[in-house]
Amino acid sequence: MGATAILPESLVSEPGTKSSETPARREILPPQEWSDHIVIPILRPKDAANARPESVMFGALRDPRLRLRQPIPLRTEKQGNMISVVWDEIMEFGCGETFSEAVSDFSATIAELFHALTEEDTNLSGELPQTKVILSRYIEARSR
Amino acid sequence: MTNSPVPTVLAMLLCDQVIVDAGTNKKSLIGVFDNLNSVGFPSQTRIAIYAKLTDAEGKYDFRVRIVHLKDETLLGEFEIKGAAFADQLRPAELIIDLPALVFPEAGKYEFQLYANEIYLSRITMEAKSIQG
Repeated sequence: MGATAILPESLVSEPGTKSSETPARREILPPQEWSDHIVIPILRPKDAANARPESVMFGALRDPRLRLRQPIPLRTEKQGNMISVVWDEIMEFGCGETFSEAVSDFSATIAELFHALTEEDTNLSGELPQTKVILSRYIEARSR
Repeated sequence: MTNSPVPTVLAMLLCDQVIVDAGTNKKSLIGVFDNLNSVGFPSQTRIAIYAKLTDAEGKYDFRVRIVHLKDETLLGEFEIKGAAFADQLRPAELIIDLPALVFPEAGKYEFQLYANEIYLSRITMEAKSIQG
């Protein structure tokens, strides 16, 4: 039987807030005096563009029981105010108000699908056996 | 590099700075936050990103994209070339000390982490205007 640990209330608090009183210069990314030479800014303000890619390789699987064998190719769609990311190979998708929310939704959807298809007593019919084969090329359960 | 395993992000945090103890390699995250208060905009500040990874092995080019969520405008992009990880079974830590960033207005911003052009994770920050 497991034990329950009760944490003192002081260990739980609101996230921190940073304050900035430094007036900004005009540039979005001004020349800097950074000390770590491996961080390289590669975009300047005049290049500012939409950050939503038309396609992306998905590597943000959030389920601790699963891992990706390889990244999943996703296509991005915008319909009204909603963003969707679509995996065309098995026609699964995630949606949200931003690209990242859509990717998070896709992560939850795909993990749930993997678990549903790999349960031991599941009888699969229709396209599901093929979907399971494709999913297993990209996702595997972590060994305990 | 293209055959490297897909890293899994266990944690991703924003902070003022990360101090690495030279003797033990332990990291101290100073000033962890997810809100930025400013008396005016545009506002300029320095930010460090700490990410704990697993499943990473081999060399990776990491990219951080800073996105204004109001309209998903790309505010800035930074690249870290050739970060090497020895063993995918061992968790690893990634510290990205960004140069000072300028946030043009109050609102929500997102820091997206990519490895070898694979989207891994994101963390959001809300910039708020306060009375001086």
